Amino acid sequence: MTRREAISNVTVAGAAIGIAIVAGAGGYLAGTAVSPGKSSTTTVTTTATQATTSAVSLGATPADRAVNAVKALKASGAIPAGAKIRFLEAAFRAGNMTPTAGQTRTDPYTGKVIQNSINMLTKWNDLTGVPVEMDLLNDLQLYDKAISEATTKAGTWDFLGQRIDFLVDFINSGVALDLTAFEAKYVPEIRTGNCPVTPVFAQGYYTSDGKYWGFPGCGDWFSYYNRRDLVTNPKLQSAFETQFGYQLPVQGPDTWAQVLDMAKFFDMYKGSEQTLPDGSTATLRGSYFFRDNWFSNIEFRIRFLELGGLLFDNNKNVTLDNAITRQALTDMKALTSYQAKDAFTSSWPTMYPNYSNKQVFQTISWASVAQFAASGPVGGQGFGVYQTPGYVVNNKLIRVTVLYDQTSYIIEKYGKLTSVVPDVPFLFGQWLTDPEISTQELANPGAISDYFRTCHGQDERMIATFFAVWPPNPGIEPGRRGAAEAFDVQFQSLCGTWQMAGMHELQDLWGTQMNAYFTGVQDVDTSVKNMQSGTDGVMDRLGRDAQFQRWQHVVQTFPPALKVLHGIS
Amino acid sequence: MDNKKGRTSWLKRKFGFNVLLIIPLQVVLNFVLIVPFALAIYLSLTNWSPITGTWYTSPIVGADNYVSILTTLRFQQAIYNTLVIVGGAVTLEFVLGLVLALAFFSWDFRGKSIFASIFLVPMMVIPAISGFTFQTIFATQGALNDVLTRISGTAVAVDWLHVPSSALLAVILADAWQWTPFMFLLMYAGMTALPSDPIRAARVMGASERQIFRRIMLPMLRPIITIALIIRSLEAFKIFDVPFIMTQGGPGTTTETISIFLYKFAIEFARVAWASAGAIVIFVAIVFVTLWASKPLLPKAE
Amino acid sequence: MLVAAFFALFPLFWLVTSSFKSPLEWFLIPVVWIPAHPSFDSYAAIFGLPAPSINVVGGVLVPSFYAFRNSLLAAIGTTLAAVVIGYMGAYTISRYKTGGAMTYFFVLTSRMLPPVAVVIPLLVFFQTLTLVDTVEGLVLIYLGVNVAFVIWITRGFIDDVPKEVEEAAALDGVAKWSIPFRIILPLVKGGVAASALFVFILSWTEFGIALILTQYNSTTIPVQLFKYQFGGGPALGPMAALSTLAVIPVIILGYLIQKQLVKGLSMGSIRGRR
Repeated sequence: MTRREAISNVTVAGAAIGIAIVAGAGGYLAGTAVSPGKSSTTTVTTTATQATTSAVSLGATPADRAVNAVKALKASGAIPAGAKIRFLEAAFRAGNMTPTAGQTRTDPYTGKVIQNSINMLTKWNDLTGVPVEMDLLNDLQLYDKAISEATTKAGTWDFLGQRIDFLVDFINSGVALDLTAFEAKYVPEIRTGNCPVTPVFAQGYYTSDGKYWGFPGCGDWFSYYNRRDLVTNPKLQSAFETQFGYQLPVQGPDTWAQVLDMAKFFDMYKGSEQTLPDGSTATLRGSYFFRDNWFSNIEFRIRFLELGGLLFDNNKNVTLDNAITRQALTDMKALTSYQAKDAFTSSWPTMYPNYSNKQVFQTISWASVAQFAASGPVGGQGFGVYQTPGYVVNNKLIRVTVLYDQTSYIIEKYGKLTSVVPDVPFLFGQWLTDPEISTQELANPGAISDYFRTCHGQDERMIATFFAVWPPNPGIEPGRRGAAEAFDVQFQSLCGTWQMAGMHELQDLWGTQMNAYFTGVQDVDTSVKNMQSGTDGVMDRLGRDAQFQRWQHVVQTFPPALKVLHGIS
Repeated sequence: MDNKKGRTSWLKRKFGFNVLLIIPLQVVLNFVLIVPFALAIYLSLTNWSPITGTWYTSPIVGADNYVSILTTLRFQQAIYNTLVIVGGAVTLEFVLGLVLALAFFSWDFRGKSIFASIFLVPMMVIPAISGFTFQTIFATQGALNDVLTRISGTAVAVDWLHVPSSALLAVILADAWQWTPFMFLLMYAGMTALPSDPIRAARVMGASERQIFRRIMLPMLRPIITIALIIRSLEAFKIFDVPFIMTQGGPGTTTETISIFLYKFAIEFARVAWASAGAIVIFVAIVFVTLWASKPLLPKAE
Repeated sequence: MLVAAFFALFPLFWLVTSSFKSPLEWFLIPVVWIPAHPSFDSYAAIFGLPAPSINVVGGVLVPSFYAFRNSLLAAIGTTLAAVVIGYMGAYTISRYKTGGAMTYFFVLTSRMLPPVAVVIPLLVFFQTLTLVDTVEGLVLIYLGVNVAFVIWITRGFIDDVPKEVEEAAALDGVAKWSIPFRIILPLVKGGVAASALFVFILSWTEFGIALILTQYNSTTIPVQLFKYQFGGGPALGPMAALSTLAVIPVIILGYLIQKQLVKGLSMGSIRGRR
């Protein structure tokens, strides 16, 4: 064969094979695509044969109802043999769900032996006979994998742990299952009931477009912490007053301006170790406010709202390009001079050990700082928790804490079990977030779960369980409640997270623009303008009217002081 | 060979032995690469995003995505960042690899094979983990500043990862650490394969080592140098793991490479059609540049 | 020379020492070089064995045993398949100029494509074939992406072998089918070994594609590391432990092939380009 013939032979062969494959694949894809998707969602098909009983007769508590309903479904044969609930959970919550039974854990800070408690998944299986299989993914993958279910419709999971910020994307992509009918039927008492969830969560997060979509998961929230031992030191107090002309705020700062002054004052890092007034040495930095993408966004929203900012004005314009945004960003940048630059890309793992080691004076963080603060030279006195600072607007001090909600639970429409018996994953969620069950989960190591049930703070058993796991730090002043205070102090200023379509992209946009400003790559005007134009682009692409409606939904979760400021009732 | 198959059947002629050998290759490549690529081309002409609908019902919008992405500043910046990283890293790897190879080639010292094994180790570390290791090393309160502090006696706290120029440098250094062994290997292999007569002759004639290297070895090494540079550049262009883990795109977006950009927009923000257009643009550009760069290597017409 | 070796090993040294640190020491300021109380807890944790000190904030680490298995299967499978298919392809391209420059270039372009570009369509495609989250699927895509490497390297070697060798074998009565395998293959062993090592390394350390195509069944080591990284904050100890262990198989393989490597590489790549 000549070379030309050889070439032509191969190209012919190759083309023939290629066309065959492409045609075959295309036909196959088209074939599967055209066939109707998995069974529909809102109608409860499987329980149609059951006698209609009112929800209460199933049981007195949400957990009872859930367990009894699943048993009834099982008895009626609606659940296929060998079916299991596939559960996607964030890796950091693994300790809540499945501590290794019987294993003890020694708290490295207090030396206390904490008995790992119940394996929640095993307990559910024992009660109902439906096993739960859990996959753990990290924060970055959690959303990516779940949203790819929209593309593949693989039905890999039934029960999804997700940040509730992204709920709208899951709804729009068809992945989230509408749970309104189940709520009416089984009454999980999330939005209403005997022990309801904090309104910001209940009304704000799980309601979208008038329908009900999910369950609360990890309920930890941010408060402000500083080194109380330094703040109560008389020598430091008088030095501060001499320098700044007002008293060092002992019960926590009121305003961000005070935070900045304290950062300046307590930044004793001169490039090397310093001797602190109590004679010990440390490289104390004035603050450590996380500045990675996620937390920059949280702190930005806090300041933006406190200054009276709104994402949309009444004419559906995005209002980011204004003095409010500029002030929020410049104030955030001003703090970075007094903290480790690694805060730009790090968060609690780098802060925690250093807070207790006298490297950090103040921060905004989770309640678990309390545990870490109890260690070593700091002890209980080193830990003071207070409300997030605010801004004074129209002569009123406005404080806001944006409740960003680490994970909540939604049901995946395409899940293998969900597409057959959607009740079952729903009932699992109902059981898991029952007031008593979730209190038991508190004893497990890991992120604090579902603490925001209003009865947790009042029910004696629940308080006792909480303090067994999160005891007030040794050496703390008598009468103080340690980490529990972190939740009390913030209650009045809770505000809902910004839940709308395209939130993943918006957070990246705002985060990278802010980061560019904080690190000096851009000036504040460029960053703000880019935030404005990018947000406009996203809103137009995803439907400005719908997004505006969702923003109104967020506005309804504003704390009272903020509503008064905007003249909303 | 021409007349051997003169009388065999047409089928046997068209699909003779040589073609049979290459069919598995064709099948694999077609299957795994061409079908998705064709699909990607189709998608880039639509408006598809998983969070707004299904791909086969997405309307065709023609070249809108292409125009849009080419005029997006962030995309242009990603291209620029990638070029900087590729240029810096490949140059550094080439120079270091060449120097090391020359040292191995010219000197004889004890423990040569042990050193060789040591030098190969960085290539075997998972890039993702080397990204993380270097992140902790380059951290403002990390190992590098600690070492510099101890050496210089004064406190050193350089923000390696939070200033654009040093962040890019950090990424380049991390990549160079990982892939210098590759260049070293190729250069050394090339040197050992050189015919030794010209070199010996030059030595006899009294040429200095430097002259030997520049006038004799280097020209003979040119083919393998070109190959090595092309291969390494192609790989470096797709760099993803190290900057993704180390800087997550850097201060602002200054270490966001093309792969990171595409990953973010295709996977994280689900703008698949738009990102596919960008990927195809990049692919076409790479193909053309590679064609141009490897012209001196193509076999001459026979 | 010593300086270079130091730089080559320093990050690895950092990694190994970190794998013995206790959680409080992972991110302490100032940096901890030698752990005060070295322990094997990180190693225990990644295999699901009791490791009391690691459960600091209650995150339970996912055991890595399956990641090792999957990575090994994927890497070995890809290497074997790539070498076989690539060798056949390289032989026919070299000897018969099959497809001419077009095929060869076509093979090269498979490495120019950023994997991210095709990975979503690939996801759709694989989903209909139920290959998502399987080791077979991973092997398939790794094969497609890496076989070019084998062809690159091996082709040059085969070019080197003079045609006379084959003609002599044909005259001796060796069947045409077995010439590539009986006669040529032993001569180009070095090149094949080199390409095998490269493909193994590339598959073992591949992250981007695996990140998207795996979910829970076929997690590979790099993806597992990623899980440890952001699951409630980077777990430096277990990550360091896992990566230390992950380097070992590659080092072993590299050592075994080392002699073949240099000898092989030198023969092939230059001469084939004249």
